[in-house]
Amino acid sequence: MTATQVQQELAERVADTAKECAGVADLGSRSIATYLPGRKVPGVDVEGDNVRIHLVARWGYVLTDVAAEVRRAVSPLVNGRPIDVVIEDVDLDAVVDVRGALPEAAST
Amino acid sequence: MSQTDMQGRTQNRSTKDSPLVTDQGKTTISDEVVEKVAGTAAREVNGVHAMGGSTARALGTIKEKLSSSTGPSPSQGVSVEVGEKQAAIDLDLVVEFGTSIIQLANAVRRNVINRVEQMTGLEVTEVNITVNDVWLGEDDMPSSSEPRVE
Repeated sequence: MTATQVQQELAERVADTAKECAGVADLGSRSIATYLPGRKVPGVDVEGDNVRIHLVARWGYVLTDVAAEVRRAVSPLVNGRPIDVVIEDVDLDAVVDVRGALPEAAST
Repeated sequence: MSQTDMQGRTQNRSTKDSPLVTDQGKTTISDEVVEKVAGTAAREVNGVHAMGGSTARALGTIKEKLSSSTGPSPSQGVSVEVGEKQAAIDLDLVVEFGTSIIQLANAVRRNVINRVEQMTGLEVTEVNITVNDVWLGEDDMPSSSEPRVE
């Protein structure tokens, strides 16, 4: 397996794992991505000492919990490297009423 | 226009134990996130009629019409400064007539601080509130339905 393939697989696994975490609406597409031949994985950068993950959170979640959840889920994939999480945005359409967190206010 | 500049801080927490900076990596909250949370939290308080200065509200109305969205953008009338662990928030409000502006401003400040600190883990250092206008209700519109003369 070439270095590119290793990286491709890692970036994709990190992206899939992060997307499945509670409170994650999507990965951020604004600034970072892993660039691969023919495609890119937005919101994930697995190069360098710190893994970087940019994401869009769902409305109603405590964002520090979301970040902790992502970190917990992704950490085994990256050999425990530090993971910097950036919450780029919150998705008001993806309302999940977790703790009565103002969905009625979100829609007005 | 009245400005209440009280600091809304309730407790003096050490910034060292910020939940955003951990050994396993940093968590960064973007400006947009804080704007949305703060704007929605401010609107939650009864007595807040709208948000934004007159220009922002006028532009917001046009944008709403163009995009056929259901309401004003939640970040309208909110500007924020976000650091690694702390955030400062400025709000532009239009209040309903009959509310005590001081009480309302304090309630908004309290709710915004609670929501932002709870949801984002950022420490809110200040919430500056500018009251831009008072909404007089439907009654302040000149009623054209009834002719004044026959």
